[in-house]
Amino acid sequence: MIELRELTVHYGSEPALGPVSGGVGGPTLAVAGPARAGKTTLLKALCGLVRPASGGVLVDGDDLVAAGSRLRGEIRSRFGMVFQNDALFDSLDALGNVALPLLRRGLARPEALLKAREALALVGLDGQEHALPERLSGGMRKRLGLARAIVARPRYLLADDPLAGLDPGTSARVLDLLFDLWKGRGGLVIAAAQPGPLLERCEELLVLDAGRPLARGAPAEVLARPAVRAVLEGVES
Amino acid sequence: MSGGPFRTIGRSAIELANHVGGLGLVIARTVRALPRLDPRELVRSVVHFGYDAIPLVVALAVFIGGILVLFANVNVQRYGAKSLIGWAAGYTILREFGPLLTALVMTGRVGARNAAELASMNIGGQLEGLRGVGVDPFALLVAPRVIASTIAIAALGLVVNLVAVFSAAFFGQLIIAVDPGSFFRSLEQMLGWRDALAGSAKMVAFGLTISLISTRAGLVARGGARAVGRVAAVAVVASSALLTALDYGITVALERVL
Repeated sequence: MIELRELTVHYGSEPALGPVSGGVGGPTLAVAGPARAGKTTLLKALCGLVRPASGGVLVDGDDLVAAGSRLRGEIRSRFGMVFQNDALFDSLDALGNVALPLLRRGLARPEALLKAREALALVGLDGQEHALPERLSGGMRKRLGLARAIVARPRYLLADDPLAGLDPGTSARVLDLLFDLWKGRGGLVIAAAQPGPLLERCEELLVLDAGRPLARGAPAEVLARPAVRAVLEGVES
Repeated sequence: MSGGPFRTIGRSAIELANHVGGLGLVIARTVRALPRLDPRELVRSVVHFGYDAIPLVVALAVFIGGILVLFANVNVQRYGAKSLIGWAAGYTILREFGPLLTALVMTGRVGARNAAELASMNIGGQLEGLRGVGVDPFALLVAPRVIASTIAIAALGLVVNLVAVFSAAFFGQLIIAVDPGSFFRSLEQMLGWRDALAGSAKMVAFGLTISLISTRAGLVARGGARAVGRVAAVAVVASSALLTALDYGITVALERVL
């Protein structure tokens, strides 16, 4: 369970998010909103990639903001993250990218490589172990990012606009994979500018606008609100 | 406009404090990451920054030796000081030309490359991606690069010194007919460990300066592809200016202690 307490994030002097409060404990939460709504910032704040200006983040009862570097590292290891721009390491092949988090956590090389191969097979990239990221298509890079995010078996998976830039067919395959892999494992938070494909699959929808929460609840209920529809229709148009 | 100069001075002071503080942070985080430093990345970076540059610095050193002999030839002709040519060439190479010219060339090669690569990884989200999967970018990437580029530049400076001295001996014989035996005798008799130590101290200081400035430039890069080019240029210009000033400071300080 992740609990946000009056969380605010600033970039320089500019407010980027908040205040946001509430729990992120449900199995699947979709975060939607237009550009600069604070979706990416919220995901980064959840796993400690950005430091809040005020408020707190409790992860399974541990205070991420107040934690010392050791505990902070341990808390962050409970998260896997799929980045909007993939954030893959160009000089490493697919296997190296996926094995990296395990190797840096001290796992023996043969074991790390074995787990990395398993993760690649899970996302359908077996046979691409030695391909460099630049050689892979957009959909394959997304799947590689997903394999890297799940290889260490995190408790929470955060996916930042995982369908951005993908055609509808590839989007559907990546989404199927994401939900199939994550079924019953832990919390899944997916940010998307257009939540359409997520609505049937997520239990909860949070809509942000200009860094502030506009509505939160069951997707059908949230989408019924005129203010939410106006914001999301702006994104669609 | 009233207050204009004060505002400019104030802004410059804040900017300078920002740069100095930023460099301090890079140093502190690099030192903290040393126990977890990735040895594979260290070796890869030493090869990347150092080994691959050997042909370039050897060519540089050959010409340094030749130029020194051409200059020395003027004094040899005027004062007939042939017996001092080995000492003069060795002193100039070890204490000044070797370290400074190596550092200036490596600013363009190692500094610009390091800044551009880190900027590209920073802007492309790779550094954040590493943090996102629980990997400290300083332990994996930054600290190995700082250490590797310092080692590489210092080692390349040694190569330059060695090759430049032999080159000076060769051109000395070719241009002013100084016997190599006499050249090396003068070098051996009049140069000591202090000269070698002074040159080595400069090379380590220059290597560290280039690596820290280029690393800081890469890590603070924001924007798109143009930002990558901009930080590479900033790294080269800032390092070159600082190296020249540092060279003066170290030379004055070393003249007093060595």
